[in-house]
Amino acid sequence: MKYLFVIALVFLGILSFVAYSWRPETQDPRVQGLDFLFQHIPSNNSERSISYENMEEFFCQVDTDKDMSLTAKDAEKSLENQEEINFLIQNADDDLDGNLTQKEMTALFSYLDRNKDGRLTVQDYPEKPQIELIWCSDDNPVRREQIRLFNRLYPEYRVRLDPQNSTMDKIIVQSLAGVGPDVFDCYNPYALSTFVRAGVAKDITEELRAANLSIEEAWPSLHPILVHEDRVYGALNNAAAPAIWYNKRMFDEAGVPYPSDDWTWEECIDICRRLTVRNARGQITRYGIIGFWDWKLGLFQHGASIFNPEGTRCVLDKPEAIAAMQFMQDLIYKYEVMPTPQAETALASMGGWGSGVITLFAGERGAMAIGGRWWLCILRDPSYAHLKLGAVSIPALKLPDGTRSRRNYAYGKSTLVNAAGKNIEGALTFVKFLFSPEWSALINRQADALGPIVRFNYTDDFLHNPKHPEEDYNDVWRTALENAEAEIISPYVNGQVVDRILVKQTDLLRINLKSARDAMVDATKRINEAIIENLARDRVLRDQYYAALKKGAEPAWEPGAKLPWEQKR
Amino acid sequence: MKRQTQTTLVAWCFLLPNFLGFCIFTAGPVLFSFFAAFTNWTLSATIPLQFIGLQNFTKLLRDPDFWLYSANTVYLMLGMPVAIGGSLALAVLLSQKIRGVVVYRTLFYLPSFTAGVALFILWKKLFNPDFGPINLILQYVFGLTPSQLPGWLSSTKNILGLAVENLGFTRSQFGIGARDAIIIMGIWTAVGGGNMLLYLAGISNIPTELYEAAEIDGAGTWAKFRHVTWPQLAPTTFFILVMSFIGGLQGGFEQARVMTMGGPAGTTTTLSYYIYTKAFEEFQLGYASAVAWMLFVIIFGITLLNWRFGSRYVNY
Repeated sequence: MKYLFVIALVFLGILSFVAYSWRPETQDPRVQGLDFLFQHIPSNNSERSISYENMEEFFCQVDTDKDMSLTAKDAEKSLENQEEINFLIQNADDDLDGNLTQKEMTALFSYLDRNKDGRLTVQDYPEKPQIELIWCSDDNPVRREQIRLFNRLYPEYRVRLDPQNSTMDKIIVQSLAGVGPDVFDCYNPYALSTFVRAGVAKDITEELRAANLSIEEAWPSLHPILVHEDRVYGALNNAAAPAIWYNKRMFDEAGVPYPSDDWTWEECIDICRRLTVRNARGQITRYGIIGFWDWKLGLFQHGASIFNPEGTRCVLDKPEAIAAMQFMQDLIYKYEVMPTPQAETALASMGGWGSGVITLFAGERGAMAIGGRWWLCILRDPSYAHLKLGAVSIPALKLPDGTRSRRNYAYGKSTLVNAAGKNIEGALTFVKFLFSPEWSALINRQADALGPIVRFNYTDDFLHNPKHPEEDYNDVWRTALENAEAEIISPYVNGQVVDRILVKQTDLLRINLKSARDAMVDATKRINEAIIENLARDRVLRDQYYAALKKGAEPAWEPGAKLPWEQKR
Repeated sequence: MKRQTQTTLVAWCFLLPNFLGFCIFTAGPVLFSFFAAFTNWTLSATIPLQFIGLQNFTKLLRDPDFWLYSANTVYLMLGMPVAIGGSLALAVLLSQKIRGVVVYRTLFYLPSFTAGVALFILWKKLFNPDFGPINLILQYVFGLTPSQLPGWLSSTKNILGLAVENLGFTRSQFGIGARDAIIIMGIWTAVGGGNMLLYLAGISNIPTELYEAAEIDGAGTWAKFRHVTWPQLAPTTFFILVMSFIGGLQGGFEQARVMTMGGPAGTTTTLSYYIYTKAFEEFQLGYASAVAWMLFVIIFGITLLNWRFGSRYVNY
């Protein structure tokens, strides 16, 4: 029995020790890189001192086809240096194109040369271990290159992507529990408001001011995802506005001229009808236009919005909002140029990044698609090389007064700093980095939407990417964003509640179970009720609300309505 | 130290890691959620945490969404008898001495150890209204036109004609839709799952003498099943029934999250998914806790009823 007792204690001890001391093993890439180079690159002076010339000589020596770049082919040919070439491609190929250029080699050298004396020596081994920064963001294929750029420019940090915990609920819950990420993405003003109210987003107004960085440089239509109650909480990561993708081959085959930027929805619908293809059973196998159920675009074009400018009342029951939703419903059922939900559900897979409509368009199931420049992150894949793409602005809408509306909305994401993060300094460094020309240039080169800083998008490289000369439509995306407006939101209601109500009502509209008028009237009623309910809970918010009403804003309730907080009194 | 005390101490040392885990990760949160149900807990820093008594529960009873999603939850349990019956039938078949029975058992159990998400994506493809194999077969076999085919996951229709926005029935909603699609998928997964294994174990425990005696009395296959197998399996059936009720009332979250996001128009939102949206999307944690405890009360009540009335039919 004594032995058993001892065994049990040892068992507990081991378990506690493992739980306490276990850390995932990570190796500093700087140490790894220097170790490898000292071992493999021949040097004239001594064993542990490599000059740039030594690197260059080695590069020329192993570049068997003399094309000034190292590829897997060079590795295959050079049996002697195969390991070295593969290592270099793996660690220095910054744009991850499988092709290591001399420029990238220089960047690697500069990254490892810590004391900047032009030689790699033992003094270049880092004194301190790297600080790991956790970034909660979606796992876009271009994200690794973005992380690599930051890691190269700031060798003292190493960013690790955590895509599994990038949803708002997980970020808030984990952050409040003290195990949240250092930086995380925010996609809409509601989310920003929720992050701020939960105390998770750090106010970085002063830090940006001290670093002489201003959000005025970022696309103005996206300021609502950076600023909450006049305080700055994040840096813009990328920016986009919808426009139309079209498949040139389908236009050519049908003898339809390519659309021009001054087109209208009438012309668009006509073109869609000509490009729609049905099979022998009458099922549509190719739609004129596909896209997300972008009712927000309809609202913008009709001059409507979900809330009044002060955000104190939902105004979806106004005639312009009803007309907008009716128009979206008509595109599906009256004009039959957009897929019904059945068709869309059938064709979409899981939803989320890189699926659904993009793959549907890439699979040539639609002649046109409402989308963004960021689609190129997928459409540049060699498997879609057969697509001959064009892009054009969203068609103009003829309003009842005869004018044409080209109103559009902007979307994108900001990156926020976790107020309870473990590495606030590192997180701030990362957020400040998003203001840099390098970041915007990378976003533009990758086509992950548009760079966040306006002036860095007005370059020749943006319009004519030398690696993708076929992309002659970049100005379309920039113009769309220039004309885009900020979405009006309400600070007085949780955005997720609004979303839930709207998704339900627009679902009913989309499946033709409800008229636009009924759906919008019901949505308005429920959203206004949600505002009142939220005000009843939150006294601070209620005071702000009444301050807005004093300035002339319209309340969420009808005159004479009994309010819960008045009843309590 | 006494031997008895020593034995107890040793046992506790081995149990401690598990017990601590249970206290921290299960019992603690459960108790905490009970107290949270009586508070206005949200994650907003501007709303101070307050004890609000039964307000969450009274609000819940007036919340039309709670009742709609309760109805959805109950509707999704309509497949339960078919799933249990199917498991029994399959267990009876697989308890026969036929060639390759082990292979069959493995094949039928396959959905149970396949990742749920993978299955849901697979079924999403099968339910594709335009190009999915199910509708293609329906079209081919019954000669249905595209407009007559079920919309499956994108349709709000259902075989009872439940209305979408209120508790009631409407003719226009009669048909086959997302809820039925989830029921069919659930039956497919459940028939060859744990229930089948329980029935197989139950059948193997029935003494062969009972069958021999029945044969001597001239009982045929059906009579043997009716008078020997079925009554002998009563405890197993009772256990499966109780567990299915509990599972059914707690279920529907993964399917809703992966396949439909609770739609179309909230028709596949079950109580568990509603709790999730209230707690982790709308951050009304106090209210979500109240819904969770209400769900517990419902499950507890139904389980008590099952014990009270169901156990009458268990004679062995």
